[in-house]
Amino acid sequence: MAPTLDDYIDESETYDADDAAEIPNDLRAEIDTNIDDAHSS
Amino acid sequence: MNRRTFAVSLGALVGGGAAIGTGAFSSVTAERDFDVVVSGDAGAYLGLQSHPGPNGAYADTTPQDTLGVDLTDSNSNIGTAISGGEGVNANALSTFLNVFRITNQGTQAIDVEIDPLVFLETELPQSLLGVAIVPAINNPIRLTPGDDQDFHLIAFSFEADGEPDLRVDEQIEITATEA
Repeated sequence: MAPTLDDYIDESETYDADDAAEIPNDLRAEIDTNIDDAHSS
Repeated sequence: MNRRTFAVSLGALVGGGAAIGTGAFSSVTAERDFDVVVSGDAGAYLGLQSHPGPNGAYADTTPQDTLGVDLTDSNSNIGTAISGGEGVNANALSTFLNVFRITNQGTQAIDVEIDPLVFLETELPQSLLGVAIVPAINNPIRLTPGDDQDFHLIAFSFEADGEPDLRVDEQIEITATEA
């Protein structure tokens, strides 16, 4: 399963869930797509 | 600051001094400015280099001869490899493939870890600036002698009023330990 922005944030302990939760869902989905594409490059 | 900037520097701390003296290193911990920056790093046992491709220009060398990621107006490649851009676009999702490279230039396999993997600045609902370093998920990345790993950046921004004002000016820590 491709990693998502949430996976990255989970491994970056400097950021709390409140900050991450503020990211709009549509933007989050686009970010996840770009992360997946970069992983595949 | 009326622009959106992203700066990261990469700095180096070295552990296992006795091992390094022999040419075989057991661990290296490197902290680099993430103005989006790493050391006279290119020739070290843990090689930290800008990528040889065009997007390697987004990884700049600091006055201390360390490598750093620099997506700001302070990048010294502006006007040469970078044609004038001074930051990531507002209200955009930007992918920078092949920005920097980590190479095992030692004598034994190492596990490389990067922390953090994401930088996030928010003043929501007005502003958001984030950058993810790919592919560093499922840390660590194992590199045998001579192996290298290229890294990419995903930058995302949201600006409700069209006035970019966030900046990431942090450091990432790169740690390499004997596998």
